[in-house]
Amino acid sequence: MVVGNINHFAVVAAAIASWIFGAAWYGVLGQQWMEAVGKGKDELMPGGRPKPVVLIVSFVAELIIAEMLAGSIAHLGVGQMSVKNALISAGFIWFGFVLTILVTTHAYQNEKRALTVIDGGHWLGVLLIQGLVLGLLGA
Amino acid sequence: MDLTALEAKLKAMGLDLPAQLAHYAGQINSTAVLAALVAGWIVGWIWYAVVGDVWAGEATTGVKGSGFTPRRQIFGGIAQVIMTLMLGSFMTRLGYTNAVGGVHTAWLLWFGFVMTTILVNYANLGKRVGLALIDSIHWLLVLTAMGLIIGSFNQWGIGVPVQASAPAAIVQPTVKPAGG
Repeated sequence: MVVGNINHFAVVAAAIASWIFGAAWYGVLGQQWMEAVGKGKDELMPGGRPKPVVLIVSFVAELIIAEMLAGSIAHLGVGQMSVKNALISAGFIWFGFVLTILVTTHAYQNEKRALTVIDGGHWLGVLLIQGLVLGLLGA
Repeated sequence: MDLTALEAKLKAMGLDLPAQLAHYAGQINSTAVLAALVAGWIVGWIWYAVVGDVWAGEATTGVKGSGFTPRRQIFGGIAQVIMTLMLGSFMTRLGYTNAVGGVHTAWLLWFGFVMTTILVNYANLGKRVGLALIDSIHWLLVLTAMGLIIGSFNQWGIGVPVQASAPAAIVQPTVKPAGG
């Protein structure tokens, strides 16, 4: 399904892949993440599971991110969707607009550096995985 | 590690970093970048002056010690330098180099990558929706001001480098044109 130079099948696949990565990332780093946040498990994950609203917001947001990432590469012209171009775009967007804002907002809210590293690493993974999937499936 | 071999490998992959950095530096409209930074800083200052009390109320419910300090303002300043350069790069890349195009690019980047990541991070941390709104609107205003300034300077040829072939703030050299 290619609409307006964007392969929407690849967009959905990229969103799903990055969402699964996010679940694995916070699953593995859950303990360190909670220590960095400074809140207990009961407060962050009542019942031992992430709140459904967090999972839904994450997926919808990652769907938008994948669509916009695909759109930014589609603007380069027909035939420009490749793994290399998608990874370069993803890396630049992470550095220019995600990491910058994360570092600033966390600094102003006096969050621990470990939290910025864990959350920043999550977004780098999300964007690179989306770039990889878009480059592989969307070309 | 053999740096010469690494550089040759990167060049073979189409990533000639020293040449690209030199190319970047030559194409940057430093007048526009500076003006965009000042505009972004002023907009941010006005925004938090208006909603500062609400922000403090929302933020301090989560973490103590939040707020403005010189160190944090330096962090914010460095972040905005990077954002301005990247915004200029994206405007050129997307082909939206005038004032309207600058605002358009700013809004696309905000909607796609800024609002989304802030909402997820704040939801994850159990922060209030009000705080997410205040902070994400701040970045929308900052990016809009930056896009408007960079685009206007391009449109009216203010501070455009003489050697630049196109009236653009920055040329993104890492991606070859179609058929190239």
